Amino acid sequence: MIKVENLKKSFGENDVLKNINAIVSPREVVVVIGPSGSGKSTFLRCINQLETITGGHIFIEGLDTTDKKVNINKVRTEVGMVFQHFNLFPHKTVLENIMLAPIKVRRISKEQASQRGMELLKKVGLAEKANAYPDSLSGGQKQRVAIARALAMEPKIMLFDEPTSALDPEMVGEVLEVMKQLAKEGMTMVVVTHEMGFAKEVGDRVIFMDEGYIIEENIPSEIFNNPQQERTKAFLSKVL
Amino acid sequence: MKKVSFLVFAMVASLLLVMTGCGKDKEVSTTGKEEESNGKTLRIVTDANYAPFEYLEGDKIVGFDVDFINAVAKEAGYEVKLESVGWDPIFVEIEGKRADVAISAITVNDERKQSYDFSVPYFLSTNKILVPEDSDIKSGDELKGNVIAVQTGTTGQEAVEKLLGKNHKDIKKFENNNLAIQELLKGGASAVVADNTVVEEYVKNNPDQKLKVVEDSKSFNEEFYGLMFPKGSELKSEFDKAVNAIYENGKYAEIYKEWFGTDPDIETLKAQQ
Amino acid sequence: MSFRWDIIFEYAPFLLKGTLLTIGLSVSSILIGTFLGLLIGLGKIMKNKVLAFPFYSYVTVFRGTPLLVQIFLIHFGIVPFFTGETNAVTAGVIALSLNAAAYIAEIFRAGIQSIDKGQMEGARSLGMTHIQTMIHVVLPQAFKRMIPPLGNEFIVLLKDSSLLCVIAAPELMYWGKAMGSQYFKVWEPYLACAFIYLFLTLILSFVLNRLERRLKTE
Repeated sequence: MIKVENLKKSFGENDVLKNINAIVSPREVVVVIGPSGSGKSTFLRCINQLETITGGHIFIEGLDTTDKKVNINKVRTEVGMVFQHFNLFPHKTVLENIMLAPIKVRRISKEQASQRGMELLKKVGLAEKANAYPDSLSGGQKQRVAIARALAMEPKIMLFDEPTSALDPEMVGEVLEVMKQLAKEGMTMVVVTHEMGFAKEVGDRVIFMDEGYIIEENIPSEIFNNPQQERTKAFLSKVL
Repeated sequence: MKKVSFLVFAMVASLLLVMTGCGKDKEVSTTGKEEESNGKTLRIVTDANYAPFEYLEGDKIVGFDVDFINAVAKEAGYEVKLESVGWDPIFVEIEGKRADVAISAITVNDERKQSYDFSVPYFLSTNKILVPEDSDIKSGDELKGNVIAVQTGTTGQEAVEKLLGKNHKDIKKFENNNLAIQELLKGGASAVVADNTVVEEYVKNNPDQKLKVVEDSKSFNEEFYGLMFPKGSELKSEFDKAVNAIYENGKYAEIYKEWFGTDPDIETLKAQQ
Repeated sequence: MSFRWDIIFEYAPFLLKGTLLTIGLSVSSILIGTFLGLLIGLGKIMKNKVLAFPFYSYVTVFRGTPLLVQIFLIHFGIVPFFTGETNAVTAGVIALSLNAAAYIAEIFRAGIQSIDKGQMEGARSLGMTHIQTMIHVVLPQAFKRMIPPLGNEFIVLLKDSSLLCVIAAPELMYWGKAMGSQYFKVWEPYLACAFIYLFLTLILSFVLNRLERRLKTE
């Protein structure tokens, strides 16, 4: 589904991603962990090109998205993203947030968009909040709306950039529940997170990154119980 | 805390500035009054935008009026501090007694005499019409139906208003004659009405602009310039004496010839006294 | 020296005519200036520096020269050049609009750039184009923030219109000065004008306040 080849990303003099190679298969849930500054968020944001790539290639469903001729907007309709700080549109209601992109990009009718939007809201457990404004929601509710909004475009891949890092602890659970449900339904997901419990429970593969490199990757049980690299061990001992 | 003290400092500083400004004003007028009684330096105001009477050469004010007032003041025993303040401000400063004398090609008329005192006349002038060379306008009456540009507050404005009506929509009033003439040149007015010396001087100095001067002694009467004083000023009688003195001793004729190339008609001026 | 109410009454019809022209000049310049300002503001923040340069220069020139100078240049230079004659009202609207557009461009630019980058990212990640994001996500939010500084600019514009008296545009200040010149007075004409401007800006402030509050509750 996703193939990352020799990905390099620099911000000026700073080489944030030095040489990343990775493959994500369909229906796979890949969890990316690592210390701050390791480049994991940047890696994620390169996949849908919110960051422009300095070197290398990214193939999504066989298409080289780094080719200048490719319409990146079209690519993004297939790759949904959920942000640490939600990025909901404050001047629109919850339902309007969800309906906006399908209407403007996929050109479906308002009625259809509204119907699908309500279905998604029901799925994340927030049907009653359809006409509320994001301001009135709790963090956990906002993030669930953000997930519904990304799903409204019916993407093939969902990227999660530290989706629970900005939430109060008691709300983390409700968001992880939605993500677990999504994984069960077979969505291809790449998740950057500190929630090791989620990685163990739902992850098919864990990638450990540090200083712009992928240090180690394996199935969760192996990474957490039997880390091979020193740096992996050091990181895990601090967080577990 | 820092923000508050900076704010307080800024407010106090500006207050002090304003107060020193006010203070200065008082100083000047008191000194002026003192100096006036000592007979030393007079504050004389003008609008240096009126060639050839008063205009700027670089930062110096020059012109017929300048040479004239220097001669008269010297005769009366005073030093001159000449300041260009603009046309309307002249009247305000004299009324407020913040200036001692005003000289600026000011025409003596009854309306102005109500608020100010004037010296004996020192110049004879008529308003004339400045038009493009190919204009059909030949008299004051023919100004009707045209847009006329004038300098605000002048006898030129008055004369045009007598013909067209007070505050008529076809009369455009400008800060000074230069702007009025610009309006004419750019097609925004069909004529300018102003003192003959000014318009004749302009035509002489700008032959490439293709303008001509039309006179109409029926519509525009003879006017006389005078020095202007605050009402009740003691300087008037002193200066009247001095003006007559330079009429007699030939100094006036000397200055007049230098600026206008001809001999002045002093008899007509003296007859107005 | 008694206060000459009689001359104010005598000039009242002219002051009224002048006030109407002042309002007309201000309103048209505000509308044109806002429209132009939006275009120039957007042009200035274009990623392509070469294309953005003319917009950048426009703002620099019109904010960097006095409005009075612009008025003279447009009235005596630009308008006659194109039409062969002067027109104070046209020159006035042009000068005020162009001048306001420069300041309004900066207001738009600052407003747009004050919107969190995450808003653009959120919309783009859904597959929306840059323009769609601007129209549906960024500009609506930015506009709410721009109301106070825009309102301020409108009030400034209303008062700046008084400068047009120097090109003999028969607005309020022009008639005030005529009154002053005719009667050699300062307090009566200028106080009268000051009060009228104050009255106009108070009304404008009131309207803008109501607008701001309405947008807040939406």
